[in-house]
Amino acid sequence: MRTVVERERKFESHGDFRVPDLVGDSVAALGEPDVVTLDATYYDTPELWLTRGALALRRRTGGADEGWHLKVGSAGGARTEHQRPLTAATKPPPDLMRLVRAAARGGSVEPVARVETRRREWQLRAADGAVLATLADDAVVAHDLVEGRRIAWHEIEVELVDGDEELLDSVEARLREAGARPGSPAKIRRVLDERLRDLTAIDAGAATPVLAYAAAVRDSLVAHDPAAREGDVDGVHDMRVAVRRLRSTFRTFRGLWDREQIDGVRAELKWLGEQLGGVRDAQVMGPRLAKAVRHQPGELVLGPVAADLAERFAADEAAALTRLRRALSSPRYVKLLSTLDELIAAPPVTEVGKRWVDSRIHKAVRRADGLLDTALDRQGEAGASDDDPALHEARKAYKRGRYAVEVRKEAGDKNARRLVRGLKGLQDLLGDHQDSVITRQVLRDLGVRAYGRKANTFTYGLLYAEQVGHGRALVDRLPKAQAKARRRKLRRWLR
Amino acid sequence: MGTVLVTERDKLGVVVIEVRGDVDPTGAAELRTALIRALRHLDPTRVVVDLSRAGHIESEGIGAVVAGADVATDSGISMSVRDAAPLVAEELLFAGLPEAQVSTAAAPV
Repeated sequence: MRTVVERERKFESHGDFRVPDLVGDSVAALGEPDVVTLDATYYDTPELWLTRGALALRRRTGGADEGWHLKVGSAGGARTEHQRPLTAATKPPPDLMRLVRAAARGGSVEPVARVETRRREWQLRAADGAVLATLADDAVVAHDLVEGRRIAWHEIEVELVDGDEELLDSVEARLREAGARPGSPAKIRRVLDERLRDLTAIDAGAATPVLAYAAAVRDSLVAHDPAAREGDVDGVHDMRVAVRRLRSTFRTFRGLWDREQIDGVRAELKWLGEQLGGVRDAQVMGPRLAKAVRHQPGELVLGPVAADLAERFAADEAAALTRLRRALSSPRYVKLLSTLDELIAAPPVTEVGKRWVDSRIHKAVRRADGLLDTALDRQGEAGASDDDPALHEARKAYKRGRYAVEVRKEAGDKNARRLVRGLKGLQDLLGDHQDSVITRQVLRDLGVRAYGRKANTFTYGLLYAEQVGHGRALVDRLPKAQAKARRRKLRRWLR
Repeated sequence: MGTVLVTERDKLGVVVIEVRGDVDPTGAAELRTALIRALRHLDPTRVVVDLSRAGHIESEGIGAVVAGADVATDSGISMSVRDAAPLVAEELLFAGLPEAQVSTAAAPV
């Protein structure tokens, strides 16, 4: 098990908060605080599309890292921050704008909020002078530059240097006594909170959970855009999953929208998914095959197999990444995002009840069950091959089933959460199996090309045979995973 | 117009692959083969991909050059791209080519 050592804790408090006396226990002295004044102006579209996509674009003066900052994925688990030097201009630097242009739906950004922070930072010292921790008390005054609202609060952050978790506990106890509460949302979200709530409110009767789910997935798609654009492995993967979720939702619940419009947007999502899939496939397949070759005894690797693989996947990945970047910079992509916005914001064309939504979810899950039954029956027949497309169809159907159930899960349904978990095991198994089938196709293709160059193809055949064995073993595990995913207690609520 | 590749090796062992015309997926595959052949079989001291007469380059063409650069690095041979259009240069850098290995064509006057 991995042990996570906690290094820092954050708190928030009201505007009149005062840092309490922290001397005592292991802290011997606080000394005089360093004082810094930070002044940040946040930029966004009138609809706050950047903030909704977990992007924060700001110009900040004061402090060691003053300049233009683009924070990506700031909603949960901050990941990347792009920094550019401060310019006299009040317009964001063009290269940062390029990263957020699609998220801004092609529109321009203006100052939407100003956050002034007076930071006082103390060093908590032990009797021998060692710095145990630092404590920063941010007195924050934030203005909504559009609506003129002004709010003030304190944010307190304690970060360990040479101290231990016990110290964090005792500092926390004193801060709480003084009126601080653990946790603190991003400053920009806090000042724009009310407007965000108004902008993101969805009222579509029984269809609300479906639209709210689609909205959350769309925002996650946009949030991963800058990382995917840079070829980040997780960014590409997460953005691709968001695309799949949207496609699936627009299929399962298609009755909510105009048929022609929904078919059009699904086709566009398919196009975007293919661009992301190309990069993902190269990023996954290359290392996997390289590893498989490394695991072979040297005498069974005939010819420059590893070098051929490296060359092939370097070319594939670079080409796919170039294609993806071109796609993400195209008007077609911005138009797709705008269409998604329209579909999610507009009331559904048909009024539906809760039963309709539930029946769609149920149907998606049952359909997957049926397809897997058929696929497994066929596996039982004499001479069956495990690269039967029926298994792939069942896999896709389970994905759709799981994404459909997620609509209820996101709305806070515990039964749905359990079923999503239950389906995941089966789906992972089917996913691994499909990967094995694709790997075989790639190996066959590599073998054919090697043969064309009059090179030795033995090792490709060997790796292929290994994949067949692997795929077979996975299929053998399916019935048990299937039984687990179909347990009555997981399904009872669904009808 | 399809892709035309002209490969020349001078007395010092410098191999120049000149790319003429648009690079479609087929042209990209040819470029990849030409690069690998040059790197593995022409015993070059250096390989230069000259893009001064290249037209539109499809993403597969970018892939071909990047794969060639990888093979060059592994073989200890220096490879560079000459006279790339600014956008192509940006895509090559982005796809992983070091800045020192890419020179941009002067903007047309």
